[in-house]
Amino acid sequence: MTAVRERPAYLVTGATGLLGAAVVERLLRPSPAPRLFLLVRDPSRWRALAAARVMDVGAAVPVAGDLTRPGLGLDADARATLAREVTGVLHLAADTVFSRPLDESRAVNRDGTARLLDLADSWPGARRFAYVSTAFVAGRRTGRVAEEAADGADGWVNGYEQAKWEAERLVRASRREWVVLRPSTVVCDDARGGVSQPNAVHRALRLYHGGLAAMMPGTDESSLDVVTADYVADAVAALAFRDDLAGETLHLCAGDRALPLGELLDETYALWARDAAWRRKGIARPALTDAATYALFEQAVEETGDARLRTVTRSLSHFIPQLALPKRFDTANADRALGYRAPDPREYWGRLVEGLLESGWRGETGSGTRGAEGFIGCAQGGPPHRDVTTIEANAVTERPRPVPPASGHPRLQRPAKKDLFTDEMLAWLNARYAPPGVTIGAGTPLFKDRLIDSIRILELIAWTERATGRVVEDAQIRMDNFATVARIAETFAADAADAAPEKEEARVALR
Amino acid sequence: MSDAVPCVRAIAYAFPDGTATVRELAARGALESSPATLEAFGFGRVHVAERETPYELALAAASRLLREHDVDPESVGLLIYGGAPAAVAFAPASGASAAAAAGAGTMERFRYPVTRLQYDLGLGGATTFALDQLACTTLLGAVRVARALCLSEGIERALCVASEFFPASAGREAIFNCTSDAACAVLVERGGERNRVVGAHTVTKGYYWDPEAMRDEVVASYFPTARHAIHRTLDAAGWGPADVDWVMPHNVSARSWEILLRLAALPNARLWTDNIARRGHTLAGDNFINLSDAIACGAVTPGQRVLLFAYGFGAQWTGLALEA
Repeated sequence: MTAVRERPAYLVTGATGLLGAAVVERLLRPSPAPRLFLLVRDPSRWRALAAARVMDVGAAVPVAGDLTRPGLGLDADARATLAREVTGVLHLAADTVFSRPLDESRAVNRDGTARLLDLADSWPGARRFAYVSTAFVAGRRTGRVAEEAADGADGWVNGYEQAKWEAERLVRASRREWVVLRPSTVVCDDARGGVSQPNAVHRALRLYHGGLAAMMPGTDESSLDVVTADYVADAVAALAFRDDLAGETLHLCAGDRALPLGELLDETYALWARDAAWRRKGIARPALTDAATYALFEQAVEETGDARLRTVTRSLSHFIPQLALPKRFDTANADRALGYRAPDPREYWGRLVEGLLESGWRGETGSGTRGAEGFIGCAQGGPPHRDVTTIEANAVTERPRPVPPASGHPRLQRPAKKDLFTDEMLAWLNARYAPPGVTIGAGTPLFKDRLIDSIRILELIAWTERATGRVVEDAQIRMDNFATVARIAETFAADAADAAPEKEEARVALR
Repeated sequence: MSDAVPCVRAIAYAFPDGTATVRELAARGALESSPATLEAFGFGRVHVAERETPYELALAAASRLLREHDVDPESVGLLIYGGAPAAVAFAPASGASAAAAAGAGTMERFRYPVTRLQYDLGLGGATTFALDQLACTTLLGAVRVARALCLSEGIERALCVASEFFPASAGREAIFNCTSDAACAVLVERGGERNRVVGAHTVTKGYYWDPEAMRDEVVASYFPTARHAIHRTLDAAGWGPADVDWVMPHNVSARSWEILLRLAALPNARLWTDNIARRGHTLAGDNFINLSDAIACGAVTPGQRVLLFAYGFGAQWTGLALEA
C-alpha cells in the first residue's frame, strides 16, 4: 500500500461541471489514486454530485473557495493544507458565457486564473499547473492553428475567447511547469451522441429546426470542430500531469476530421426531413454567407425584427461568426501523446441530431447534474447558486440577452397591473400554445406540462418585456420564475402594479 | 421555335393623383415604424388614392397600354386580372371597408372587374379569369400563367392587369415597407424580339400562410428561400449568376435587397432602385413598373438579361427571367 504522503495530491477547479466531474472520476480510477482537493464554492453541491454519479464521496476533498475572491476565499486551514499537500493543479473552471462583456468574462477566466497561479506559486510542492483552455483562443485567425501560443493578432469573436487567451498567457509566463490543453466545442457526452447538458450548439440547432434562424456565416467548406465530453475528459485526465508534457500545448479537437459545414448541414437537414410533419413546413436549409452579409442581416433584424427574432439572432451572434473564420486545429501533439485521436464526428453527429429530436430538445438526463430542463436549467447559468468554478469546456451556457420592447409593436404604455397582466398572458398563451381541449390557467405548470420549451421561453420573455416595458434581467430568468403564469405575474408584474395608475388604457392587445 | 417565345411586349401603369411623404404619413398615424426608419430603408414618397377606385386605375393602365402601344383590342385573346377583389374594386379607397362589408353576401360579389375590363377595353376576343391570393407576386404570377397559355393554347396576346389599393383605414406600412396604391398592365405576346420571357420559377410555402402569426419565421425564411427561387429561375433560363445584368426588384427595403443580392451572388447585376424612394412599394407590380421606367430612361438596353423577383405574403417567392 502506498503511503498517503507518497501519492500525488492535485487541486482541481471546476469539478462540479459536467466535464470537471468526469475528469475527477477518471483521476480517481487508478489504484492507488492521487489525492484530490476540489475547489468548489459549495462543498455540499460536490457531495450531491458525487452521490448522483455514484462516486465515492470521500475520495476527494471539497474545499470551499471562489476564484473571484482574493486568495480564492480560502480559510486559513484550507490554505495551510493546500500549501502543504498539493503537488499539482488542474484548472478546469471557466465562465463560458460567450455573451459576457470582456471585463466580466475576465473576472473568472483571467483574474481567477491569476489568483490561482499566485497561490500555487506559494505552494512549495506544486510543480505542475495544467490549464484547460479552449481551441478558440485562436479567435479570428483562419487556416491551420498550431499547438503553440496564439499571438492574438487577429482578435477574437467574443470576450470569452479573449479572456481565455489572456489567461493562457499568464499560465505560460508562470514559474510553474505548465501544460495547456485546448478542447474545441463539446457537443455530446460520448460517441453514442447523448447530450446531458444542452448548450449553445444545441440551442442553435433548435432555432434552425424551428425555422427561426435561416442565415449562417461560412461556406460549405468551413468546418465545425466538435468533440465528445468523454474524449476531452479522458484526455485531460491522461495528460494533465504527465511529466513529459511540460511546456506543451495540445489541441483536444477533431482536427482534420472536423465536419465541413456543408456536410454537417446536409446530414442534419436530411435527418430532420425524415419527419413528414417537419418536411411539410418547407423550412429552408440556411443560406451560408460571408461575415459581412451576415452582419448586415443582423443589423436588419436589429432594425426590423420582432423582439423574439432579435433575441434569437443575438443569441447566435456571440459564437456563430466563428463559422465564417475557417480554421483547422492541428492535433499532432495531442494525438501523439494520447496514442489515439478524437472520435470522428461523422460517427456520432447523426445520433446527436436524432437524440435531440427524440428528447424534445431536452437532451438526456445523463450523469450530469443538470441540463435536462434545457433552456432554463442550464442556459441561464445553471442552478440558482451558480458555481463559477464550474467548467463546461466550450459547451457554452449561453442565453439570449433580453431586449427592450420592439419599436413599432404593440405594448403596454405603462407597467402592467398584475391581474391585467395575468389575463392578457393567459389569453395570449391559450391562443398560441394551448393544445386542443386544454385551457391554460394561472396555476398551470408550464414546463411540467410541456407547454413551454426552450424556444417558447424566448417568446414568453419577450412578451413579458413588452407587457411590462422592462427588461427581464439575467438573474431573473430561472425556471421557477416562469413555472406558472401566476408566478410570472408575481415576479414581473407585481411591483410594476404598485407604480401603475389603475387605468383601463393600460390594456393593449398583445399578440 | 425561338420566335414563339412569349415576350413582354408592353407595360403601362397608373398611380392615383395623391401623394404623401413618409413623414406626412407618420403624422396621419398611417405608419407603424418611425419615418426615420422607413427613410433609412429607402422610402420617401408614396401614392395614396382617395377618390379613385382600383378599377379606374386598372382601366387607366390597360387603356394607356393599348393606346400607347397601338394594340388592337380585338387581337387580345386572354385577359388576366389580379388584385383588389370584386367587393372593393369599384369603391373609392375612402369607402373600401364599407363596400367590402356591404358586398360580402349579395349579388355585388358577382360584379367582376375582369369581365367589366374586357367590355370597357373592347377585348371582344379575350377570355378572362382572375388571380387572387398571390399578394405582391400577382402580376408575376399572371405573366407566368399568360406565358404558359400562350405556349400551350397558341394565344397570341394576353393582357395581364393588376390593381391594388390599401384601404384608407389600414395604414400604409406592411412590415417596414411603405406602400403605394397603383395599377399596372402587361401585354404578353408570342414571339417578339424584346423582353423575351425565358425562365420563371415560383416557390410556395403554405406553412407561412399567416404572416402576422408567423412574422419572425417569415423574416427568417425570406432570404434563403429567395436565393433558392432566384437560382432556380436562372436555371430555368439557362443563365449563370454572372449572366444577370439587371435586377428589377419589388420595392421593399433597400437594406433587404442589399442582403439578398450578396446572398444570391450575382456579380454583374445592378439593382434598379430609383423607384423605391419616389413610389414606394406597390402590390400591383413593382417589377414591371421598374422595368418600364428602366427601359424608358435607357438604363436597360436590348439584349441585356433582366431578373425580376418578388416575394408575396402567403407565401410566394417568384422569379422571372427576361432577355431585354
